[in-house]
Amino acid sequence: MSDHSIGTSQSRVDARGKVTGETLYSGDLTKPGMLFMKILFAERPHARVKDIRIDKALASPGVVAVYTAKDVPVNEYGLQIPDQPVLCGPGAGKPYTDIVRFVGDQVAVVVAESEVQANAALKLIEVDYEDLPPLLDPVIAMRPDAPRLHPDRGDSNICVHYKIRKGNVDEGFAQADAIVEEEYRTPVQEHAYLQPEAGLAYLDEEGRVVVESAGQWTHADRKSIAHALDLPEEQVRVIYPAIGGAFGGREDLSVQIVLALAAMKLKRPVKIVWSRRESIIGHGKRHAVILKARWGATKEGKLVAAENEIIGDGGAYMYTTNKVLGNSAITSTGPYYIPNVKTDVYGVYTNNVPGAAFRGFGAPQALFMAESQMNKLAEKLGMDPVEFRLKNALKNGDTLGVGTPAPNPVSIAECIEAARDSFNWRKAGKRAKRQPQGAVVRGRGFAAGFKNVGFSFGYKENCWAKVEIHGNGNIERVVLHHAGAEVGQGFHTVISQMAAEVLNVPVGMIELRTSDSATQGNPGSASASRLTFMAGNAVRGAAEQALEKWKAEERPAVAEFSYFAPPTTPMDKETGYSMPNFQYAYVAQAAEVEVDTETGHVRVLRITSADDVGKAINPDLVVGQIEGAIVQAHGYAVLEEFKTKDGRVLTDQLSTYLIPTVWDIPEKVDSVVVEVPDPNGPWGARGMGELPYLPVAAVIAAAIHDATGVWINEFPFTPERVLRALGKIK
Amino acid sequence: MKPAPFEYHAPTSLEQALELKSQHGDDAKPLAGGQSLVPAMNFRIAQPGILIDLNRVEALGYIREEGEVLRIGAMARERHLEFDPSIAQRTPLLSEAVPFIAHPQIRNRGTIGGSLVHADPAAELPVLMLALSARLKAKNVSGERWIAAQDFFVGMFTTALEPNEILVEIEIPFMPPRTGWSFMEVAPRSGDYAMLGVAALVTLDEAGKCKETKLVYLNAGEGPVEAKEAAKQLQGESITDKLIHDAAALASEKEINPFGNVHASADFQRHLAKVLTKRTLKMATERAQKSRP
Amino acid sequence: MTHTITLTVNGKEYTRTVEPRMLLSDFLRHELGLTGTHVGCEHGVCGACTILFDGESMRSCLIFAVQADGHSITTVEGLAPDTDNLHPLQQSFWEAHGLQCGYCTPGILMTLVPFLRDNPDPTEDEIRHALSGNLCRCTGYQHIVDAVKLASEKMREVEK
Repeated sequence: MSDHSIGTSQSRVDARGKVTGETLYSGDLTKPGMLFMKILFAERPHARVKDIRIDKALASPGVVAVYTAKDVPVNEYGLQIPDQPVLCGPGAGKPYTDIVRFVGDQVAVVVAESEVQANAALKLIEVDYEDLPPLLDPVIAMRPDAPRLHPDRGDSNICVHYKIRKGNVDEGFAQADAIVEEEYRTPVQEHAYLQPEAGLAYLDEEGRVVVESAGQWTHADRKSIAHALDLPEEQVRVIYPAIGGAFGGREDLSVQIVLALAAMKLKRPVKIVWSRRESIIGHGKRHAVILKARWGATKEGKLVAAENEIIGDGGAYMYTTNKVLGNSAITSTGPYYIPNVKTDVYGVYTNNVPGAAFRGFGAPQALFMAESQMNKLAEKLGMDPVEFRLKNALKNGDTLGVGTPAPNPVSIAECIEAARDSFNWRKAGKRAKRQPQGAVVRGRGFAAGFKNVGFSFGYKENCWAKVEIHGNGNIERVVLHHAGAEVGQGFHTVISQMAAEVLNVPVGMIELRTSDSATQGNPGSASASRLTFMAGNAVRGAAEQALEKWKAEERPAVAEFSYFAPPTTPMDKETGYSMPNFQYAYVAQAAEVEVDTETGHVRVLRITSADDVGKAINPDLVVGQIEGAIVQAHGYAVLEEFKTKDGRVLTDQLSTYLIPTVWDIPEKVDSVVVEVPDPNGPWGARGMGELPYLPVAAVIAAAIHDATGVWINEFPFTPERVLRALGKIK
Repeated sequence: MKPAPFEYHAPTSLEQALELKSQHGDDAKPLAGGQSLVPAMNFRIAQPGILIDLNRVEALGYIREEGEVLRIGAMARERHLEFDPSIAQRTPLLSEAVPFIAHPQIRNRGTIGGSLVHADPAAELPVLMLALSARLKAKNVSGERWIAAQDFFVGMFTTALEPNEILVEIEIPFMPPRTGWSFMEVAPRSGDYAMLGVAALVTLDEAGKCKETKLVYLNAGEGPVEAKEAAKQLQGESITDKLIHDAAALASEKEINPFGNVHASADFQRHLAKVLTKRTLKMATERAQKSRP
Repeated sequence: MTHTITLTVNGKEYTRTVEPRMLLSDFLRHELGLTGTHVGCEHGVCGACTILFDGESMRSCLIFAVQADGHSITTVEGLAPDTDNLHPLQQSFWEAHGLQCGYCTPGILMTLVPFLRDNPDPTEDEIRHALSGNLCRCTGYQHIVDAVKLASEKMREVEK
């Protein structure tokens, strides 16, 4: 019986529980004898905690424990560097952990018999703060005389500085017939996954501290928890229940360490559920970035030089700022060949909510700049923006800014052509002819993008899987073990299809054992568009080896496999020279918008996205990623505004931080799935979860310009911002 | 448990409800649909000591015609206003505007009386009541009184109701013949509170000249804001684009007092008022002209 | 002060004693263990907690449990006719990829039950109106709209 499942739109393996309500998310978990935790947040952007008095809270009815900094064995954590206190306050072994650096810093936790009691006790904790002046502007924070937010981490608030030096930009600009020099600003974005943070921690029968809470990388969560609790990693077990969306926002920890601490000390299950407000102030955001660019091209339309300066607001702690901005550095020249490049990228500590991973991971910001530069240069040269892109599109062997070529095959030209043709770009005609009557004007725009698949810069990128085949004569059962996070993207379905394909069994025969750090090897994270590629190779390897054993009559036939991706190298400190990534994926988009020049409202009529996914393992899931990413990026581009005042969050609810409803999305999204196979990808697949997100802000900016004649270098393109740009209001 | 503790009463008759309100006065808050009150309680912005749940009081959910008016019970759900054929025929402005209130699930529960008593300057129904010259009936244990809509809203989240009174009925006169209507608002996201909105009514005389105009704004001051001067400018005139433009300028620059919020600056709100006044007046005039016999 | 309430949830009668301030959403989740009703914002914006109250879709986070005394509630757990069969809406969301993370799904399904009852053959515009009070951060909504269309077809088939 043959069941070729690769390339077919299999139904999701996790859908049944999700449509019946049986699926349990972290907030749904319970255990007998369970206690409840509430966290006291600092609610101020910068302060020193002088004293915390917990006596009244401890004496409050039902309270079992109150923990502060001095109760945390190793009071620090962080995915890249441990620069964040678990709890801010005096008495911890580590210096400077009494400093609060953003509103969402955690100061104390209360554990009580009920949530009501925990809440009541929270108000009885007395904290003496010495408020310090907040540093909220990264440009000011990076000055040499600015007060240092992390005195133990160097003599500056600049936490990251990448340099790219290729060729000689002065010589390049000397050849240029057209130069465009502009400054751009991109906003913070809140992930707003529908399920706020929650978790349950308890001791298992082997005495391990178990934390069941949504995350994106079981083994990284385990490592951070174990470090803070001063436990061997084996003594900590991380299990993922169903995850209600992630988008990068669950890469960094939220409730896990304090939950584990309480469960370990109290030897009872402890549960926490964050409110939406706690979620919004408590986890990181997409970095706000200031980008300055000067690009030059010849009158024949060849790019000759690009000079960029990019300043990312890292917020209070590193989180993944170093990697996010590394990615901005790589993508800041777009998917184009530019012979002379000079780029400086800075990440800066401030007292804002930390900049964190978010779908696209630094590329959307850099590409807004790069693609806007391309559109403006095309305009200045009097060239069609599609033709201008094709003249400069990266080809196999062309070097990136970092001096080495992107791995073959490079498919940006195919994507540009696919988007152009599917959108019918050539036929769209002259602007004047397309205009309806009255206050509403129409325009169209084009943009492209690219992004790495998998971890970069020398990380030894790997992923584990295990396959068991059971039966006698025929295969009767297949068990697939994998810890990769199913965040909604369809990962469990995709790996089931892959195992089924190798073993030539129906997808329904694959039984999954998922996301338990105690029984599974390291999957790496659900990020960097990497899981289909990395886990696909691991699952394929494990399934093939198990099948060999099966054929050799082993019963059951069991194989574990760890896949290692082709090696990469870190950026040279002075020139950026490196082979930073083992693969990229490419995308191009065209869009048509309508702008009401009286109300300022921007309506995207249609957007065509051509994404090279290498091979669509499950086409419906791919289209779902394209549609979801475009709507999320459309929210970023036209609607979502994360507002703060003096470091405090004003938009701390879903009624003030507005994410799109079904009425606030492009009227039509055309997904064009391009398949240029990656020789290293499983069945040729590249990663694609972030890809459709990348060019959206730039393509809308270009279409608004085409409609109104005005370039707007800062978004979201809200009605008020559009009207200001049009000179209709002051 | 998100809200603070409170005492709960669920009277089954209006008399019982009025008795409770009379006993407890300002300490007791009537609970109608709860679509504004409960969120405020969940965040502990509102912490009423006593709730008088009106959902079990029979016979407050009616919508009926009587002579030349519509009578709407205070507990009529917004969803019923949306689809009621009498409302569609007699006061099409109301039918057109109700779908702008939040979302279907909210309108299934939310009531006209609850929204009016909440008196949110950003809400649609108070504005519509002013535009439609509604009267509101308040009751206490000893009697009842009628309050004109324009006297009912006295400030931010404040009404003319006395502590012992409950709003029980809304009376809306049928829109006169040769009346055109329009409601428009601009919200940052569909279904959310608008940054600014306008209800416009234009009644023409038999010669096609403007007999009366109503212009009422939401999120343009401490309550629903009526632009009386701008409306007066049109009276007796044949409405032209120029007149509409001048009326919009007067209303948006002189008669409203928006103060901006997290999503919109006051300048932007004034600009929107001007644009929407023009658009609604134009549409209302066209509709009035079409309806001429 | 507590109140004793009796209500029907998914066809089964329950009597419980509650504090008046307990929200219906918390009652369903914590008292009855019906965790399919999700909570995403606690103030009526996201729609994840939508349930049927006497057959109409409402936010269970904006109703107190005590108000449900004597009423009939349906949650997502009560949607399937039996353990072997799913409701056509559930089936369609599964088949047409109408979900990703699934957190918003129960609220969306419960919004659509009365909608399709009243509009058996809806247009795409009507579907969007019906869905406007439910936030989804994953799908971009198009597959949800497609799933609703599929469900309406399935349900009309059954009617025939």
